[in-house]
Amino acid sequence: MQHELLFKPSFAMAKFHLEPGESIIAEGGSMVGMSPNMSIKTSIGGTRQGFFGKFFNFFVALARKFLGGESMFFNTYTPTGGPGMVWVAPGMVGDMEALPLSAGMSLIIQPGSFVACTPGVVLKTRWGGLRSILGREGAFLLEASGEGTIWVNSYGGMKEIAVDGTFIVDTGHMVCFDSSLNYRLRMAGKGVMTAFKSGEGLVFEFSGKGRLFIQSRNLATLVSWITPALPA
Amino acid sequence: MEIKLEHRPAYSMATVHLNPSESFRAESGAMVGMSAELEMETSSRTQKGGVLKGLARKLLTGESFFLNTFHARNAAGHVMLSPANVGDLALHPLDGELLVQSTCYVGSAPSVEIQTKIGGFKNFFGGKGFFMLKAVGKGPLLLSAFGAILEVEVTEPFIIDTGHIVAFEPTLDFKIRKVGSWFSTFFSGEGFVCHFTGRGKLWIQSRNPGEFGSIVGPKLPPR
Repeated sequence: MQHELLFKPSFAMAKFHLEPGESIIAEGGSMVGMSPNMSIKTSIGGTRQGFFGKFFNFFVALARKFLGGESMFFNTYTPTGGPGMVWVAPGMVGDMEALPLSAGMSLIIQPGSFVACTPGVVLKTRWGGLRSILGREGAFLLEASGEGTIWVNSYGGMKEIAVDGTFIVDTGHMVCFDSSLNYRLRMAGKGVMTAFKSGEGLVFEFSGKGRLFIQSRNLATLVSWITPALPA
Repeated sequence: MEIKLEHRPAYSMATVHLNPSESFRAESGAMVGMSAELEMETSSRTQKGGVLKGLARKLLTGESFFLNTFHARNAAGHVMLSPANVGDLALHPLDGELLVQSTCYVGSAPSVEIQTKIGGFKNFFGGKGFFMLKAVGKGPLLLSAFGAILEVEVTEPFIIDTGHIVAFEPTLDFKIRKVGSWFSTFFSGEGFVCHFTGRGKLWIQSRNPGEFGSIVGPKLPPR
């Protein structure tokens, strides 16, 4: 499979060229264009089997959509009768990056930042805990492990930070991080009034050693900027 | 007339320099600034039949009911134009016909006639409308994109998500089709797609307004 990223850093789009037998998994709604011989298999994700397992997968997918802002569905693109092409782009404006995954490591991703992955990657949903459900930002995170490559997108520019010690990131600016990092969610300042006055809400407090990817823009801030401008 | 594009590819703006007695037509709301010597004339789109057709265009294509024409009378002047979305602008030297996604039209010289062509339909399953305008004539045509613009030379059949189409040559045949099975069409998030066959040039944008809307929209207060 060949892949390239075009139009970095503001409107990044991925082009995938697949040989017969190869596939790429992409989030629902991300397809820009494809050759006519691509077959699409839509699934809600989730690895549980059996009747109740399927219900569980369905509820996780719903949660993914309503709480995480991620599409409910994943599409697997496979070419039939020869090689094929599929072009993929995220909904938000900004950058994209291809991150390799290998055994023994995993990436924890803000759900809205997932764009695509190769079939060897396993995606699991990780609950952020009660605090994140009460916060404005997404209630849970995606954990990607296995062997392969994952494509993530940022709203705005993407910056890699090598954490060694402790670091704090606003939850709206977090794209993904190595699972080797310890993290907890907490309020930015002390007390409810600080949050109200500072405009800062929940933050991730990272400690340990690992990579952290952040985005230079924040969806919640965009919303609070557009909202007063909407017609009454 | 001379048109310069600046601040590409993310925050593109066009500056149209007009010589005396030249004019340029632009979308409502596109003007950033202009020389005081220019005269701006606002009219309803009467190119293809009166006020009622103009209203139909507004309701169906989402295009503004009004059109602004900038006239340089006795003195030269310039007008700066910007689209609403973030992204690139393309200056296409039209000589013939071009089909343009209605939200991607910014402006054109009066020698280019803009016709409404209902080539698509409102996508019921995502509210992503798809309407085309047909530009006919010879002269500069200014197009905008949400995101970056990619020019594709179509020689073999190719499928494009309708929200990503900016413009294409009429030598291409297009059909709106389901993306796959009925299940896929409803649930893949792709909905209906455009199948292009034949030969010709196609311009696509790397971001999809419908997708962007479905991320930001739900977070906005209810209308």
